[in-house]
Amino acid sequence: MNLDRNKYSVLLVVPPLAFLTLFYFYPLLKIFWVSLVAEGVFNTGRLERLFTTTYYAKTLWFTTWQAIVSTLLTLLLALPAAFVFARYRFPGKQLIQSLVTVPFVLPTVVVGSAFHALLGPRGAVNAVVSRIFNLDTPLIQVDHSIWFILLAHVFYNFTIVFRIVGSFWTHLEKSSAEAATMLGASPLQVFFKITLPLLRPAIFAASLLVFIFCFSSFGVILILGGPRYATIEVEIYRQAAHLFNLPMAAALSMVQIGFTLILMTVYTHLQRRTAITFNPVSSHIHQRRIKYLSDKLLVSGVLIMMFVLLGSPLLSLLWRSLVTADGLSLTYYLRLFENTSHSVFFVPPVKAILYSLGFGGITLVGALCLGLFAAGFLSARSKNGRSWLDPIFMLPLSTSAVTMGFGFILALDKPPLNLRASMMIIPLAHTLVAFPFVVRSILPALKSIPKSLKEAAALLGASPFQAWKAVELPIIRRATVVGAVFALTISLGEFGATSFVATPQTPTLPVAIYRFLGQPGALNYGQAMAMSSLLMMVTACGFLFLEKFRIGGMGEF
Amino acid sequence: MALLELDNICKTFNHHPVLDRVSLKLDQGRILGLLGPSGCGKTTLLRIIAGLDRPDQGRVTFDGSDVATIPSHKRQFRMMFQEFALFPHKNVFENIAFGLEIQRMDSLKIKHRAEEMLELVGLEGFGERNIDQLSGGERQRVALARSLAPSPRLLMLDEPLGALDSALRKRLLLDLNHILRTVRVTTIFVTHDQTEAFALADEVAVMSTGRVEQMAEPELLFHAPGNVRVARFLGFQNIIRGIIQEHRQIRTALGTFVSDTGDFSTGDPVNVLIRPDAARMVDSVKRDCDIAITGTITIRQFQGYDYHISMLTSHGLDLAWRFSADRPPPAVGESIRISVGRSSVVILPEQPGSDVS
Repeated sequence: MNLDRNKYSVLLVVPPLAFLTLFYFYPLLKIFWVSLVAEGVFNTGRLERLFTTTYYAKTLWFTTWQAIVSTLLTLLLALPAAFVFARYRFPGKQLIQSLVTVPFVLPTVVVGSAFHALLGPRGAVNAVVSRIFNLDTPLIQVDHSIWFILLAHVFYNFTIVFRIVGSFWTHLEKSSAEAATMLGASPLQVFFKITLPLLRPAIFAASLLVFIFCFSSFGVILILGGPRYATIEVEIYRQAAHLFNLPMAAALSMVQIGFTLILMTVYTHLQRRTAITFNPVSSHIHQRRIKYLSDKLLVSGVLIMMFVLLGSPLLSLLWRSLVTADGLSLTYYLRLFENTSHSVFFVPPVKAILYSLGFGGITLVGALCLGLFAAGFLSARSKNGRSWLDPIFMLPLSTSAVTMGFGFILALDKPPLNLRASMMIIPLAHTLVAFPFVVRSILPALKSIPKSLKEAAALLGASPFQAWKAVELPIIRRATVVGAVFALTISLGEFGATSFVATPQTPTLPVAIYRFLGQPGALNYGQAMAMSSLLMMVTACGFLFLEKFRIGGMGEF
Repeated sequence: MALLELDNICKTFNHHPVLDRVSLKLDQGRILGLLGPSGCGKTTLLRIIAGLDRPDQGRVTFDGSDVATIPSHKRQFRMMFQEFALFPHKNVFENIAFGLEIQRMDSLKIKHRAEEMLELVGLEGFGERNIDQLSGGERQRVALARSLAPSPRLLMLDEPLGALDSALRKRLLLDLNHILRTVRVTTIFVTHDQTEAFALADEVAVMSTGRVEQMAEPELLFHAPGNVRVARFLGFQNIIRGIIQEHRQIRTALGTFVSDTGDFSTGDPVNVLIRPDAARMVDSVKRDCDIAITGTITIRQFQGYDYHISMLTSHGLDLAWRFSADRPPPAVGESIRISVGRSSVVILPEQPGSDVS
């Protein structure tokens, strides 16, 4: 019986493994090949040039330091918030906690638009200031400045620190602090000698994750940074898409892949250690009501900060999408559905929406099928819940979307796999990005099914298929819905890989927004805002739906 | 004058009274056991003394002065928590040294003191171990050493053996008793276990639903429980209603007999406790003053040293007895006649709300 199952389950692994080989490993190898082999000769010259040429060295350095500063700023703002949410009880807390995560799931393009809408030359702040003081030029000129990038990164990654450190802090055993108090430690001594050291693994893990995200930041820098700033990711895009210097782009990709793989390995290692030091964690949650004036000041201060940092860009985005020359109206939204002849596209914007939905649908089906196969295989094969294939399936998660997109155009341009001209290349790229998320959504549910359930069904006379239908299917149905929503929202918002593989005739929503933002004129700007607002609402709804649907223990990546 | 004095302590959580007018006194060097079922407020009382919680009402006086304005970290009371609350990021030595470092003791002295404490609790050479390498019993000892190291003015132990399994509890009870008698520091501990309370304490305060029902030395408490709740908590089952008659007689469902009626006056409704070990099996009642009871055996359990018997009397009362193993009682369903000496009867005041048949 068991042997039979194992024999069949081997078949399950074939489709996902074939998919990864073709669309992940093959393009990756191609990148290595192009960067290391020039005209048939092995040559590390390009890699060396990356570190010796001032321009590339500067890019590497900028990528690193902006990531460090972004991480520090995120910690500075998110730690007080984590403290307040861990220690106090107040009305509306649950809702705010859910909303805080919305920025993290928004497509980078939307974040770029949102900061444009808040602080850009046409942004809300400048509009208000100019009206009050009657200025002709915008007062705040953060456009294309480093502050714009840093702020957007803090906005994006706030919730990582907030969630990881916050949940650790919430469950930190109160008695450790009380034990220190009873040994004579003052509140300040308790914080520095007990609480902070206990939080250290969580803070470290969260910081590393933020650093990784900022290090491989693409959309935010491309949209907000302007020509002056380039991370490795942006440089890959420029070298490949603008300068057609594919070998250089490949060399940069290799550096990026190396860095992220190392950082992700450290993070996984750290996360496992955090799980062990979760030891001092109790199921009792001790939170106090807001009683004293100092509590009130602290809590309201933190909430205001969070609203300004996280809420105002999104609200400005909505506002700018509605404000036209004739006052508030839906003009920009309506213009999205008109085919104007002088459009910057070869296709009307509504087509971009339709393309996005179509690609989303294909991604959903593709990623779900592959994810179900992979998760089914992993849960059937792994003895103690781990299989050596598990980390392999997760690889696309720790590879930047830009490198994957670049690998696609590098590798899939010759027969028999000539997909450059095919529309299918976009959903294929999206499926690759979404696949690990689907596996991560379904696997815990599958693993949670005890063997005895299936055995009980078999002893009651159910055939393997009947047992699957009666036992497994109902249990993983919820998880499958979660995976589907993940796949759809990822596809709708994907920008890094899409910017490589989308042709001018087949723009997706994010690509269209990026193009609109690059064009002059109030109408283009307004339409970018309107599209971003639509995308924001779809993604936010998808995410809030996931929050409601969440299954214990999932959603940790 | 008492070292620690609690006066009329009240505490409410979410409109639910947890402590209700608790007052007690403890002398220097004495060991007090707070005994009660879980949820009776004993841990809260401990936390109020420690300053970790504030009372809604009432006063905590230590060494003659009110401690309300002294924050807990300055009271020099040390507390051992129920799950021990050892610092997971520090090793055994660093855990014990923590309180000493806070006092800014110099490092040589800290080392000396920590070693002394490890020796006291029987863990010589454990200093460099990490907390996760320790067994439950070892953790308990480290927690005790950590609390004792900075020479507490008052030591508080919250269920000191509660987190351990029962075999370990028995052994560590002896050790804990030895250590507490050695250091002779004024101590309050909380327990739900009567054996633990009797073995460790100089005085036991029985608590139920937020009140101290009775505080006395263990022997006195066991021989003369102050009311039905205390008696019930100590495990006494044979409690019946009675009314005081003239000439120091009590009338009960089992008949009227002479007893030491103490301060009660004629006509008072009372409760009568009959000790389970007081009964003798008899063929016929010889002395008038003894109480004779007949009934049917409903449960018969052999316990090694003795038999535990439940009987249903002809009056419809359910009573429990213990008989020595050298004279086996009849089988279940058979009738039995017993006699109880009147010295084994304790008269308790009538108490509303207590269940008495």
